[in-house]
Amino acid sequence: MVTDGKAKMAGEQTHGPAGKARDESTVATPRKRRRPAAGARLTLNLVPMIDIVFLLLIFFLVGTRFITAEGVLPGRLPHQDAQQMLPVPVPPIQIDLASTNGDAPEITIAGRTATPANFEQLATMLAQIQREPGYDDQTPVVLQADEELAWDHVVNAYNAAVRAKYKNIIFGAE
Amino acid sequence: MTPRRERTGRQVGFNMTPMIDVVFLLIIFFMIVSQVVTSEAELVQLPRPTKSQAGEFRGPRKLTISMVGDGQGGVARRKVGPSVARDEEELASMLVETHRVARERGERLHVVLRADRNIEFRHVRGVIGMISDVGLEFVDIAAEAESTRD
Repeated sequence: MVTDGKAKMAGEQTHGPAGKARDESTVATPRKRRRPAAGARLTLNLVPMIDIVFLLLIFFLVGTRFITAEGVLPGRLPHQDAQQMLPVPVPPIQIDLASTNGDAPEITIAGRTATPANFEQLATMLAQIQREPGYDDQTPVVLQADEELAWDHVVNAYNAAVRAKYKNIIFGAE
Repeated sequence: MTPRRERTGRQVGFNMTPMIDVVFLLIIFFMIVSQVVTSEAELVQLPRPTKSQAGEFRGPRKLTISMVGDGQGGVARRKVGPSVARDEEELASMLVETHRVARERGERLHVVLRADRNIEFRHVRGVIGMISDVGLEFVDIAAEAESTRD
């Protein structure tokens, strides 16, 4: 074995350009020595690759969940031939949303002194009003929003009315 | 003798190639599917109400109107179903046409209004007015659902 190695070393030193071929054989020498185990170890180790592939697979599977789930708030517009509707015994609840330049709008419920500070409170107040005599879930809720108010806030108020179980929510005209 | 043994040594081991093929196929499949899903529904920054009540769409047939914001409160792009409307007039005529076709087939259209949360209310109200003028009655407002939020 020792002489074999020596011969290879000598070969390498003498033949410059043929060194590549010689290199391969030098690498192969240790395999020769541990022949019994070498047979099994020669296969390409795929484990790290499979690890990464599974990682990628899981990443993309989870990544598809990033698409925001969206739903709809049911709505109905007043119809043209809805004039023969029964007269409303109580005035509709009017919610005014005043723009405050980008921030959360000022919410007021027409004819009431208490003003909800946020949409959470608006929902609870609307639910309270529904329990008052003369009001029910069919009472129209009119959303009167400023022209330049962001749609986000209008939908937030709409959502509050839906939360308070009102069935008749409309957007006020100018 | 030695080279032959080398060759047989390499062939020992579990053949992973078909499995990797399938795994890569799955990766590519999910990548493409996720892109198709997003492109079909116009990417709109939907309103995020507190304690969102937004639920699944329940209706016979829906017509989606998308309004993409320009970031300054205006509207950058309007879409009726899959087609783009250049301005409000075109949107109105497309609505009329879609409604007429649906009525001929005896279908009741439910409009799903997907508007950017930063659009000013007047633009959205304009579109709601148009929907009402056409004679469509059901307008559902798209908002982010509660489940995706913290």
